Formats: sequence, C-alpha cells, structure tokens
Amino acid sequence: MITDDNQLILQAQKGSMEAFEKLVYKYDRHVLNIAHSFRNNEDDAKDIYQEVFMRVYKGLQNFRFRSEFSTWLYRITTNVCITFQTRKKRHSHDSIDREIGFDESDSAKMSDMIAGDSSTDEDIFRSELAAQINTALDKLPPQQKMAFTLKYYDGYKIKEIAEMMNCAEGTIKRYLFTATNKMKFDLKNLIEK
Amino acid sequence: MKHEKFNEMMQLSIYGELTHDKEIELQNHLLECEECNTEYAGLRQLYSALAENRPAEPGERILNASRNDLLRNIRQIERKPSTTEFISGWLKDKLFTGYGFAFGGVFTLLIGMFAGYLIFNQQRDIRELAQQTKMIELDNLDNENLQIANVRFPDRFNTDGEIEIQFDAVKPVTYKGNVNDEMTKRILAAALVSTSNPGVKLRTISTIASQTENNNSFDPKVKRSLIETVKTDENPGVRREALNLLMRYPPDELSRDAYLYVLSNDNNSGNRILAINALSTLHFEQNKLDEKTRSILNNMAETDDNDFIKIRAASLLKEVDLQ
Repeated sequence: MITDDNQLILQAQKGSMEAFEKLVYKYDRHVLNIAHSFRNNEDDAKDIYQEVFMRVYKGLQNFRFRSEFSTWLYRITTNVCITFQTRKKRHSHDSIDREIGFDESDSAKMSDMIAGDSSTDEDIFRSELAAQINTALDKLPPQQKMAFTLKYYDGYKIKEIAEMMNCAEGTIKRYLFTATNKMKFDLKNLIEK
Repeated sequence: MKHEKFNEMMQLSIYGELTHDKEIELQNHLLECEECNTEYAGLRQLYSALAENRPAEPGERILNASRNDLLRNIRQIERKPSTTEFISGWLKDKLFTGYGFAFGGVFTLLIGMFAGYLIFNQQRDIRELAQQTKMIELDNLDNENLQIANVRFPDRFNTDGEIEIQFDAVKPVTYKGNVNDEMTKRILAAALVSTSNPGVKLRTISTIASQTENNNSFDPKVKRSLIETVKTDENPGVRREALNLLMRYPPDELSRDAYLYVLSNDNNSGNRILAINALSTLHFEQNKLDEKTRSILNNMAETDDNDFIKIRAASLLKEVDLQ
C-alpha cells in the first residue's frame, strides 16, 4: 500500500519542493520537541532542527523505503542530538551549575544567584531543583540522556525509543534503569526534602 | 538479586509498561517488603519532580522561525554555483579524486617551479610586473566598457604609499523584449530570487505588476518565483509586495497554499492580514473550504496575536458554516 508519506517522498525525490515541505511540516513539531526536551535550550533545539532536516533533504534521494519515513527521520534526530551533546561537551566551558557543585552547603549559594532576594522559599526550591535536574541530566552519557528524555519528557514507549535509537529494547531498558538510578542518586538531597 | 528484579519492575510500572500479571506480582511484593516500598516511593518522587520540571514545548514562533531558516538554507544550497565556485569545484574533483591525485602532484610541482622562478629571478622586478598587470586589466576595463562596482580596501591603514584595491568589474547588459518572451520571464524570475537587494526586488515586482496588468501575462515561472519570495524573503516589505502581486494571478492550489503558509508562518501581521483577505476571496470564488484551510483558520482564530486576524478567521469559518 502506498502511504501518503511515500507519495510525498517520491514527489520530493523528483524535485518537488512542495512535497518536501509537506513532509517536513508533518513531523517537524515532534523533531523540535525532542530536540528541545533533550537540550532544554531553544537555540540548540533550532540548530538541531536545521541539521536534521538538512540531512533529510540531502539524504532523501537515497531513501529506499526500507523503513517508514518517520522511523528514518527520528533516527536522524536522535543521532544528531547525541552528536550535538558530545560536541557541546567537548567544547563547552564548565557551566555555572557545575562550577557551583552539588553539595548541600553550596545549594543555598546557587539559589541566591538564581532566584534573587525577592523570591519565596518555594521559588528558590523550584529553581534549585530545575537547575540540578538539568545538571544531573547533562552528566549522563548522551545515549542514556536521549533515552531518558524521550521517556520522561516526551512520553515515548520503550519499543518506540528502541526504534528511534536503532537499539534493542533491552538496551533501552538498561539505559533507562542506569540513568534513573544516577538521577535518583544525584537529586537525592532535593527530592527527599 | 530479588530486589534488583523488583527494582526493574518498579520502573516499568511507573512508565506504565508492566504487564498485568507482573504488576500484581509487584504490588504483592510491595505489601511485604519495606525496603522496596521505600525505593518505590523514591522513584515516584523522582518521576513527579521530573514531570513538574518538564521543559515547556517550544512555541509556534520558534517552529516558524526554524521552518523559514530551513527553507532559506535549502535555497542557498540549491543556488547554482558561480563561475569561480564551478572552477574551484572542478579543480577539486580533478586534483583530489582517484587518478587525479597523481596529476595533482605534478601540477603542484609545476606551480612550485614557477613560483621559484618568479621569486629567484632577479632580472624582473616583481613590483613592475604587478604594475603592468594592473595597467593591462585597467586598459581592458576601459576598452570593454566595464563598470567598477563594490570597491573594497583590504588594507586601509597602510602608510607606505602602497594601496590595494579590490573591485568587481561589471558589464551592464541592456535587454529589450516582449513580456511574454522566454528570456524576459527568465530574467524577471531570476531577479526575484537571486538578488539580495530588496530595492531591486521591489522594482522587479513593480515591473512584473505593471506588465501583468497591461498584457494579462501570468507566467508560471514568474508565479513560482513570487511564491518563493512570499515564503522565504527576509524583507517583510518585499514579501508583502510579492503577495499583493500573487493575488492578481488566477487563483489555484499553489497560491492557496502560499496564503496558508503566510497566514501560519509570517511574523508580520500586515502580511498575515493580506493573506487572510486573499484566502477569503478564494473561498468565495470556489464556494467551499477544504480541511487544511479550515484547520489553519481554526488555529488562527484561537491563537493569533493579532485580534483582527482572530476575528477575521472566526468570521470566515462562520460564513462557510452558514452556507
């Protein structure tokens, strides 16, 4: 059966920009959401979006319908996210959170800087928690972080994540269990408050 | 080992991916085991903390900006390479692939020998040679009636009297032809999408507009360029004029898609108003509203920043439903 996607791909392969745009607009919101959940940064999400769809544009001529278009697209998305994270880690300076550290004694200092004097205790706690969740997520290896954000933030099923990341379900479960345990350990002081 | 098994089951239970039988097994175990109960509570706390701190979905503006950037990037790579790019590409192909590698080595050796000859040959004054070259090129400029444009001074602060000037030698071409000639259409279409100067684009649009009006000429190539301009041009004024002109073309699916694109993606509210007005004309002419248009209008009626667009979208939907 010829699906809508396949018809659009065939037309796009023949040079129809309109068909390519339709394909993009069908899925790009999901791609942007995945990228944004993964990086928690709008500029990074936009960069990932560009890289993903430029790869799709360049690679569409060689798409041979061996998988669904969406599967292929999401594999590109997860690959680009993982590569992006690796590249950022290699080149970035230490973030403010990492400099400040994780100790409970240091947390108050960090909350002062983030929340300011006028914030309530609840606001301070929330900012502190959000900052530490991001820091803990950044400490995870990129593959674990990808599986973790796809599960916890984007709500995909383990089977879907396995397809997206081109791994066995068992591997994804392992990533998730390891990542969850690390997160639990890193956020222990805050979560148990 | 036993607890480790339940630890995995607890996580799957929280994800909602544990089978019914396993869920019962886990709940029974939790009733008996204090240690796993504490572990389960901790996991639930983590889950709810993450749920509360889930990053907000990026808004429409970011999505639209990303779409526009993408189209712009694609247009850039689709652009035909200039002569210089073509020559450098050809040289790269020849010098750095397969058998061309050996040829590349010989070529590099020859260049080296030539450079050595120039450097070490004391009989010729290099400065004089450069001066002569400059004069020859300048003579050519005069003879061929070339115009100097885009003058640049790479080293403005050099105080030793030497001055380096870079410029483009442009040969103006005058072409006169009928608006329906293939060449005329090609030049007009190219002027719209290949130049980066908004002033030139606006003049092109105004020329097309006056010719379209006088000669009833609606060329598909020009129309495609107009649609591309409407969707991807960086300048809102150029997009608006292109949209105004597109509205004079006979309506079809392509123009409808362009209006819908502007309505949902253009960050200039004036252009979105123009697009929704154009859509209303289409709608009245065809006396129906397709699903795509309906869904975008619904979205605009609910989410657009501009009140006029919200009201207009809602009234359009209402008008159609009454018919």
